[in-house]
Parts: sequence; C-alpha cells; structure tokens
Amino acid sequence: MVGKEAPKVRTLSCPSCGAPLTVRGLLQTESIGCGACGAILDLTDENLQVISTFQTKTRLQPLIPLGTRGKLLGDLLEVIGYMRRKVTVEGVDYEWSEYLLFNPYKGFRWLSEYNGHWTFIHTLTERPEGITAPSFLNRTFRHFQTSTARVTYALGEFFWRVQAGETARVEDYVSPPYLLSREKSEKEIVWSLGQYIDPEVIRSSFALKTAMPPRIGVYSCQPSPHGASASAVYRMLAWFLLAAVVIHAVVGLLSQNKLVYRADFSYRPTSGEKSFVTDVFDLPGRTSNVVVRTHADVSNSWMYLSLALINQDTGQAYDFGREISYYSGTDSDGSWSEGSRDDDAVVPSVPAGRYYLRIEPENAGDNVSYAVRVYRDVPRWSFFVLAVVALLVFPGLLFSRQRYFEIQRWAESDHPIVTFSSGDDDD
Amino acid sequence: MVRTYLMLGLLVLGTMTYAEYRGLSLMRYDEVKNVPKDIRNNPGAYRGLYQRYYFHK
Repeated sequence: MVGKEAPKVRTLSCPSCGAPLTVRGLLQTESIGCGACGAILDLTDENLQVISTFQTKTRLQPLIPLGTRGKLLGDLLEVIGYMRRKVTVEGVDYEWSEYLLFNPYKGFRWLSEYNGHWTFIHTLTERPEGITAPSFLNRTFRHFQTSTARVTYALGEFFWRVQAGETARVEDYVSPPYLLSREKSEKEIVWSLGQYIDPEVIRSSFALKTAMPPRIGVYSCQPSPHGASASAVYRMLAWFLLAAVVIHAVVGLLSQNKLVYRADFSYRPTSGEKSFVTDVFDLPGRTSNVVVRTHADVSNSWMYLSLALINQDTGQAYDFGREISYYSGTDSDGSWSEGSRDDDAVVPSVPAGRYYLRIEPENAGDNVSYAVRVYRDVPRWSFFVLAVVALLVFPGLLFSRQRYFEIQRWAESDHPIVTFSSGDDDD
Repeated sequence: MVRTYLMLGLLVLGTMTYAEYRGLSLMRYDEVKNVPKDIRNNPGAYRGLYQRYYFHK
C-alpha cells in the first residue's frame, strides 16, 4: 500500500450469517459491519461478538467500494469503512454518506458525501480557539448548524465499536472551503476539519468508473465559484472609479469654461419678424462643446427658442430648439412650482471658429425678457456619471450572483439569510 | 471574467475620456451645411431643420 510493503489483510466469516469479511485496518480497527446481514462485530473479541445489528433491509453499495485505494491530497488511502448518518430537522431527514479511509502511517481520514458534494475530513489533535466563532488555520469560522446525527447504516471497519443508531451532537462551523465540526458523543468530544473537494478529484483519485452523483444545491463549505474573481473585479472597480475621477478632474482642469458671448433681449409678440442674429463671437481652442445658457422671465408661461449656432466662415449650422417654462401656484397642499426659468443646451464637438447665433423666439403672446450666455469648453458631469454607472453594472451583477450563492448556502443552516414563510402562516 | 471586466472598464474609461475631452453631448440637434452668408442680413429666410422637426412632426 505504501512503500514496497504488500497490504496486510485477513479474512473472517460473519458469525451471524457466514458471509466473508475482509479486515484491512490491521490492528487499529475495533468493529466491522457485515454488508450481508447488517451485524456489527467486535474485532477485539476473538469470537467476533455481535455488538449491534442494523435492521434495515436495504443493503447499500458505497459509490467507492471498500478496499479501493487512491491518493487524495498527497496521502495514499484505502477505503475500509462506509456508513450512513442522518439528521432530522423540522421533521425532514437529511442523510449523507461517510467513508472511512486508512493509511497505516497516516491514520484515519473521512470522506463525506451529501447531495453530490464531497468533503475530505481529518480529526484534529488540537482544539480550535473560541467557542461561538472558532478560529483555526488563521480563519474564523461561522456557526452553520447544530444537530444530532444518527448512524443508520454501517459497512466495513471502524476504529470504534459502532452501534446501530448511535448518536452524536454535531456542531458545524464554516469558512469555505473548510468545515470545522465538533462532535460530542457520550464518551468524548472530537473536533475535525473538512475541506471541500471537487467530485472530479474524487473520481480521478480513486479511479472510479461510475459517474459521480450530480451536485444538488450549495454545500455548507462549498467555495463560491465567483469568490476569487469577484475580489479581483471589486479591486479593479475601485481602480477604475479612481481613474474616472482623475480623468474627469484633469479634463475639467484643461477645460476653458469661457464665456464667449452674452446679451439680453426682449421679446415683443407684436413686433414683425421675430428672428434675428447675434454679433459674431470667437470659439477658441480645440474641438469641444458649446453651452448656450438661457434665462427667461416667464411666469406661468412658456417660451420656445429656435436656435442655430452658425459658423460664419464655413456656413455649418447646429440647429436646435429649447423650451423654457415655469409655472407656480398654491393649492390645498401649499405652494407648488414646476419647470425652470433657466436652461442649458450643450452643443457637442464644435470646432474652433467665428460663430453667431440665429434666434427665433416664440411664446403664448407675452412680453418676455430673456438673456443668452454662450460658454466654450464647459466640463460636464454626464459622461462621468454614465461611466460610473457602466463600471458598476458588471460588479453589481457579480455581487448579486455571489449573494444568491450565499443565500443558497445558508438556506439549510440555523442562520438562513432569507427566510420564507409558508402559506399556512398567512392564515 | 476578470479579463472581460478589465476590457470593459478600459473601454468605458476610454470612451469617457474621449467624450469629455471632445465635449460630446447627448443633446438632440441637427447639423446644416452651407448656410448662406446673407442669413445675417435676412434671418427670417432661414428655417432651421430642428424648428420644422419640433413643430411639425
């Protein structure tokens, strides 16, 4: 098994049914379960006294047959025992398999399988620090569940005298991919550490020909599939946000934000031609935006401005319209107002040059005074805000998926993140 | 996943930088080319595309 030494086994006959039994645990096992009749025999007794008998008529076949050897996490181990245990929570039975593994130099290990999830477990010789949130391996573990586990089936050898239906109080604490368990029986308290193992690792380690059972749900110590990459994405998000702030600040510092034209006008509906053009003004610097800022003294009224920013030399025009409206009053809820007397129109990517505005005002027929200010190269927040939102979308989705994974993990614990009330509660 | 987000983030930052530097805007407007110079003398002769769009669409 290990080194050049051939495995030492001895063969016995079950005194209860006569079925052959193979003892692989050298002198380190104390009991053996007969798969044929369900009897548990005392290996320390030369007459193989029957300690206990499982009454179940179902003879379970472990997925990893007894005697199978494999190298798991660096240790060569042989499957010598198999048992089924279950807990009952709120009337529901949760049952799982445990395989006892043996190496004469390393001792015993366990493999636990529940709903297709595998955990490799070894007994601790030192007690973790802390009680409610024990620490081990520089990790703090969170309490997951406390339950009473009962042995429902046993096959092969065990290092203690297994009893049918024997119970132990089990406290599980998790820090994925690790699971810390405290088992308290009548005789002792045992701490053990489990590590989540991918089913394919189990299959390849033991060279299993059969398909592994599919994983159902999320196991208590199953690492989140998004864990490592999510941390990297969140770190990256922080850098991206910082970069966005720096870029926005630098562009803001480089911006001219220069007032290039200002004028005040009065609109008289009785006058003839309403449209007019302004004086020519310079738009200096690089291709950038132009903000046409207007203020109109409208009150419970509106004003519409047809505007065209026209390049005097090239004849290129940027044509747009703006409505300014402001209404206010009082009602049973008090005073109210809607709209604004101010408006900003941002004309994008306007090349440098000499420009003028053509303005054509409209309104309901009132005399209105209004002011027009033209600014060149004005820093704006809109693309910064859009960029921040765009940067947050991906991490947000990732966070949601992580959160959903954790909700599933803790759903079967004593501390579910989300609790669902049944329909009966509504009555 | 990390690489995808890296590419996405760089694309977003690049777009933001370009948009802010070139003064892009989400405002709706129309571009008209070759507006005659005599518009300055006769502004009423100009009928902007946007004006027609706003009032008649």
